[in-house]
Order: sequence, then C-alpha cells, then structure tokens
Amino acid sequence: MVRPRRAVTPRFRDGFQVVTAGVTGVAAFGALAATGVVSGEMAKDYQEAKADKAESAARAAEAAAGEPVAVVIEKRRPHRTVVKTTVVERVSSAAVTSPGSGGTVTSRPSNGSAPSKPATKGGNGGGAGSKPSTPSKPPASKPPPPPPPPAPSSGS
Amino acid sequence: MTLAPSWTEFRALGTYVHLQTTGDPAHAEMRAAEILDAVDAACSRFRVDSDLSRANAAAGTRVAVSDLFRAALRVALDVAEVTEGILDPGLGRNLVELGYDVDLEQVRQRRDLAAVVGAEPSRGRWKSIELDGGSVRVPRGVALDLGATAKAWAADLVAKSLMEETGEAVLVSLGGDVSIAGPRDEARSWAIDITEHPGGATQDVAPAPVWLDAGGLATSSTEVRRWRAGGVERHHLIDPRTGLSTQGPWRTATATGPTCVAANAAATAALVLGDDAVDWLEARGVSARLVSGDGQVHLVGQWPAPARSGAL
Repeated sequence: MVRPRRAVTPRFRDGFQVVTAGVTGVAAFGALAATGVVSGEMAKDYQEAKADKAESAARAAEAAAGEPVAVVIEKRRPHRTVVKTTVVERVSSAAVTSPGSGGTVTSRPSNGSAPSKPATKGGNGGGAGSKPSTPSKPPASKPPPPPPPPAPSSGS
Repeated sequence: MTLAPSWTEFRALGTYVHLQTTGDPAHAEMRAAEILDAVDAACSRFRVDSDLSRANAAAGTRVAVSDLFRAALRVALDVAEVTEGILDPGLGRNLVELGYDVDLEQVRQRRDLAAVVGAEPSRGRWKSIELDGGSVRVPRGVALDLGATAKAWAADLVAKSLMEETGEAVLVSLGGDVSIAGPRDEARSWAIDITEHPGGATQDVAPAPVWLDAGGLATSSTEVRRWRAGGVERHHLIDPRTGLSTQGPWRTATATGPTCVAANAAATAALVLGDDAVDWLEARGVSARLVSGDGQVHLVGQWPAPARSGAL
C-alpha cells in the first residue's frame, strides 16, 4: 500500500519526542496509555509515524535485496485503555502465573470476616435545673447489610 | 472488625461474574464490565474483529495487536512453558474440528456434527507462535485459543484493577475462576462455595465451602461444556497429546495458587494429566480438590478436610 509521506510539523515532532523520551517501541504507547485516555490526535500521529517508519525500512530492504518485501502494516485505531499497564504487567509476569502454593484455604474463616457493628449516636444528657430532663432516644440506626453469599467456584 | 463486603452479579465473557467489594458495588460492576469487554474484544475466538481472530485469519503473517492481547498471549505462552505444553494456546483448530466453532448453545442445537477423524496432537505447537514487539505471527495450520488462561487472567485483572483504583478489598469470581485482592494491612478470608456445575446440579458431589485469604482459586470441569459430535460425547478440555477431549480419571478439579492464572493452570493441568495429576500437583506445592468420574473426592496438599459431614 502506498502512503503519501507526512510532513513533520513542529507539533507532531514535539509530541513524538514526548512519547519516545526514555522508552522504545510499543512500550511508548503503553506508557502513554497508562495515564488514561489516549489523545486521538497524538495516538494517530504516533501510529502513522510507526507505519511510515516500517514502510521506509521495508523499501530500503527491498532496494537492497532487489526483491519485493511483504510488509503487513495495520494501523491501530486510537482507543481508551481500560486497564493500567502497571496492573497488566503485575498480573502477567511469569513469576506469578506458575502453579504453586497460593493463599491459605481453610474450612472455616480465619479472621476479619464478621460484619462490623453499626454505629449508634449517644443521647443528650439532662441539663441542670428543676425540671427533670427526658432522656432522648438514640436515633434508629440502619441494620448492617446481610453478609454476601459465598462466592461460587464451579466449572463453566 | 473489618467491613463486610457488598456484592453484585452479572454476565460477561459468556459466563457468570460474582463480585464482592468493601467499596461501591455499582462502581465495581461498571469497571469490571469495562475491563471484561476489553478482554473480550482482544481475546474472543467468537468475534471476527478480536485480535485473536485477526491473528488466526492471517496465519503465516505478522499482525499488529493490542497491548492487552499481547499480554494475554504472553501469559498463555508462559503457562504453556511451565506446564511443559499441557496447556497449549495453539489448540484452536482442534476445538473447531471437534465441533466447538461457535457459541456452545448453537453447537448443542446442531444435528449434523460429524464424528472426528484423525485429530492432530499438538507436538509443542505453542513454541512456533511468535510474539514480537507489537505483533503476533501464528504459523499456518495453527489457530490460537486462549480459553485455558484468558478467563482466569481476566479475573486477576479485574481484582487488581479495582483494588488499585479504590483501595478496597475485592473478590471476583468469573465463571468459577476466583481472584482476591485487598489492602496489605487488612487480613480477610473470603467464603467460596465449590460445585461442579454453576449453582450445583443433582449429579454433583456435595458443595464444598472453603475460606481463602489470598491469591486465587479455580475450578475446571469436563461436566459443563459438553456436546455430541458423531454420536460421541465431547467436552472443551483438549489433551494436547491426543488432540481430543481429555479422558482421564478426574472430571472436576479445584486448585489454589498465587494468582487465579496459576490456580487455573493447576486445575486444568490436573484434568489433562489424569493419573499423573496428584504427583504433579504435590511436586509444585498446590492445594487441590479432585473429583473422579464416579464422584470420589481426593484432597491434595493443604486442602482442608470438611468442617461438616458430607462435604469434602
């Protein structure tokens, strides 16, 4: 596919430098994406720059080898990253994906699983004076929500 | 005393999602659904626009894929390596040849599924899958299927994301793949009910209630995703050594691990390994509960004996 060469504008150049400062390759996109919504313009520019670079490399290789080089270039449409890169890396590392011992599994709760008691406000004390004060009733407090049912684990 | 969690349930990735959190359950459900939609868009075998389907359709060439899919595939390849190929992400064609090429409900409604002839073993097919930078190359004749790891990995993603975003304790059960996350200074055990079928079924062994305080727990079973092809019962767990549905002594396995991915890898590997499962699990320090074809329960490692009679 022939793509017209894109002019390097100052805005594009500066944006690209921000993206690539200190990181390389796909990690640049991942680092940018980790901050939340990927800017449509910047992501588009970055993808086009990558595509242009790949195509230039392919053309150079083609010229050197004298044979056509097949290049699969697929532009990624900008998208909002919904999972932080740091979280993805933490749950995907080989160190934690290998079968092994995990948490402690028991037939009864070990600790910290009882519902908390609801807070109740204290009543007002009686004031000085001849009239006996009527102790005020504490306001009715909401009962704590029932504990959740056990989480299911079944074949699916 | 620690705060009791609230809970919510919904469906995603073709299965049930049970979510408990000490934070806002509505927000947790919204974020979980968002994350699971992203995993589906990346890894679904039944979506033509997913990264997985595009990589399969262009087998033999490099295809640019999302960071999320790349991470999912990396996990699948790592699990293949540590299980020495017992869990192989290159068995997509075997599933299709067995008849599981669309949603299971549609498969079951078919009347014309032919018997499988000449299923091809994997022979380390996963080793030929190339993951390089932002692209994937699936060799010709191979198709990816991340069914053995993606759901458990998604459960870990949801749990860790919610905990990091809210600071609240979270439990996610995604079709039986359970992941737990919580603040480091909070000790908490979560009640989990283990059954073979979702909600339990008449033919299941008695439910086994347990409490888990960290990591993950997963149940794999050959009893749920079943269909008939050419008069032969098939199920979705493929033995890479034969290319066919597993035929070992165990029908259901539940295992724990440092993550849900690790737990699920152990549970699924146990069903594939059959007679070698107990030794394999014990060698890796995995606690597990295995149910044989005739309903006998075998406990491995530190799996607790039942607290009440009748439940193992």
